[in-house]
Amino acid sequence: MSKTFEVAKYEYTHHVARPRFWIALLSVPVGMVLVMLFAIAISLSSVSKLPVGYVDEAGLIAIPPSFAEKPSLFEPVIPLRPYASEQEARAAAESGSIQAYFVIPEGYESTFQVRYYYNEPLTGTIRNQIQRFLSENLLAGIQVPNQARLEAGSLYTLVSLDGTRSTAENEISKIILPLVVGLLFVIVVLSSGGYLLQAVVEEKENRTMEIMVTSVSPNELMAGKIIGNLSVGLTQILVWALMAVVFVLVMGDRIPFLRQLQISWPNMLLSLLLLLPSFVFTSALMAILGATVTDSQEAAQVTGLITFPILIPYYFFSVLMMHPNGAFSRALSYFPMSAPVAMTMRMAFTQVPAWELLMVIALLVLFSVLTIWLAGKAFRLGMLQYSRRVRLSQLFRKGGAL
Amino acid sequence: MQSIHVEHISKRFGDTQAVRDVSFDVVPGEIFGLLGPNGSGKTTTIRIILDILKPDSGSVSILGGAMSEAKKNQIGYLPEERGLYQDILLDKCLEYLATLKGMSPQQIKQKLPAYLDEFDLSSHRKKKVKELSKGMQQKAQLIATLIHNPQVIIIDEPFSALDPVNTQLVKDILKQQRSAGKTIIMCTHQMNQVEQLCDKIVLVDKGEVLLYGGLQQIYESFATDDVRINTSMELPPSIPGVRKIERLNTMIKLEPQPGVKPQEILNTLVSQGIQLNAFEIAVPSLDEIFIKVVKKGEPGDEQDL
Repeated sequence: MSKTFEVAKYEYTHHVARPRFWIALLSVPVGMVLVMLFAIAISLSSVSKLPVGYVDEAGLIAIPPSFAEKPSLFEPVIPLRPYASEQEARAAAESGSIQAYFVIPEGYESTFQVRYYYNEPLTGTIRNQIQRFLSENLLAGIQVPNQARLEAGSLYTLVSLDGTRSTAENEISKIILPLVVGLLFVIVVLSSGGYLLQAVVEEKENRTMEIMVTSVSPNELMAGKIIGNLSVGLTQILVWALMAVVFVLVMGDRIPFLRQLQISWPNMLLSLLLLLPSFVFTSALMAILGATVTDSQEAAQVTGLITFPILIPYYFFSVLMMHPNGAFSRALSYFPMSAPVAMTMRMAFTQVPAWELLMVIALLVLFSVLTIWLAGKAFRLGMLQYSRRVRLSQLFRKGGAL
Repeated sequence: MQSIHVEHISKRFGDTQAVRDVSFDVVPGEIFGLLGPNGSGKTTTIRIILDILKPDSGSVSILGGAMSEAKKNQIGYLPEERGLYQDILLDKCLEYLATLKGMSPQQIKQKLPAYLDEFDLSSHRKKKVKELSKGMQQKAQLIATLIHNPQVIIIDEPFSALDPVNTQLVKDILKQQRSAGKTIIMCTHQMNQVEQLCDKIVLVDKGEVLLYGGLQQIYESFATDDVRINTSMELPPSIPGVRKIERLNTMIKLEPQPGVKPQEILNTLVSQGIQLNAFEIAVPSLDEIFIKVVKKGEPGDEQDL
């Protein structure tokens, strides 16, 4: 078996076999579920779940209330209960068995007026339910082409006068997914990079460098470490993705946002093309840090130098959203460290020209190669300097100290 | 046929000449002592042999040629900077290091328990390495050095953290390895261990070879006609044929005048009626030779024996 594989296996099991890995891994989805449960509890507790009565003086209702869609988790379904007369409905409301009632008066077909009597105020959910209920009965027996579309209203495409920004309103749900996937990738890249940094620093702290380099080549060692720690990151993503899929399958039709979710596969693929070299680039930077610092405490202090530029686009989210083709947004998407996130965002908000995408991908690949070369050099320089820091100037000096 | 052939290697770090024109050979079935004061260039020499560092000039041949990845499985190295993964179980740590030396899981399963028993570490195998004492960690590292049955063993200060019982254990193991035809380089400051174990030594100081050869030859070349005696009687202030009388701890050292042999001094002492409890030729210890050579050692004073 190749020694690279043995190193990768050790690095992988070293992290994945630890309880703290699984605690950290599960804390994210568990936290999200808890937040969601909290939101459901808050929204359900603030609205009344009592039925709403109705009195049909117009003789309009031929089809009883029905609900084609599963109810949303966040909004309770309010049963609509018929009453023969307004007196009966009022008595029920006063006794507290219904929260409100509405009267469909005679001549509704021409006035479209409804009177709503309430103990609890009219909510948007109830208004929508009544709207659907009345429309269904009004249009009973009439064939209207594109009825659902007509009811939903027009679709808007927003285009700024200078033409730099254009968004179709119904594509908003397409935007969210790449952003979330980008964020997940950033988390994985940073956590895998962090593990890698730790793994290199640990070799120094444990004084195992000499043992290692007399057993495996530095290239095998670094390749094994990168593969092992990348696999740890991929395990994270896989577990999260699996949980997300199960969640969507079980609960998807009960959460309004998920019903509208659409996946833009070309964008996802391009994001992947951007994020892969970015991972190698970040890992190599982390390895350089690991090889040049003296202990994990110092490593933790300087990790920010790498993580901050990667996360910069999130701080300028609104700028990237409003002006995705502006000079600042472009600069962020060209700078190798901020490029993966900034470019993913631009791709979500606008149509990025193909030449720009290709250029940034090429740039990231170039920087990846350069940083790997530097990482190898830093590793060779740093491996024997247990208590000394490797200076940046040493990395660029021809030949180095060895 | 030598296993290690070091030929005129030199290495400079900035303004410091760490190693200057060092050459020596080590053959199988021999324990070779690489000796020298602190900072003399021993570790740099070892790192060059192991291809961790590249020499500025000169060359090293190990097991018949330049170092290669395949040859790494034939080498066991105990570095001066002791290092084991602290945060994992002892058996996991040793298994991992053994796999990196090309051992299969089956081979490890077969050999590791025996080594743990031999080094009295079996009851600690499920402890984290950081929970072990310094001596135990050193024994564990010796297992990692030897478990893959290497042809070349390079050990730097193997006795530094060991008690007398474990020191004897390691000495016995090194002798077994020598009998099995292994090539062993040992770096140490403990001259008594060198005297007991080494067949050949090289003494380096300031990066240069000051002394190189078989231990017996070195003793002979530094031998004098000095004698050491032990007596309960008071010695006269001067003894014919003796240049200097020096009181040691329990012995008295007599330095003869040039041309006077130890036998003549014995005769003189007996003729003067001095009752002797002990009389011996004062062969210099390796410690004395070491100090003498290093103190004298100016560049160019190399003594190749």
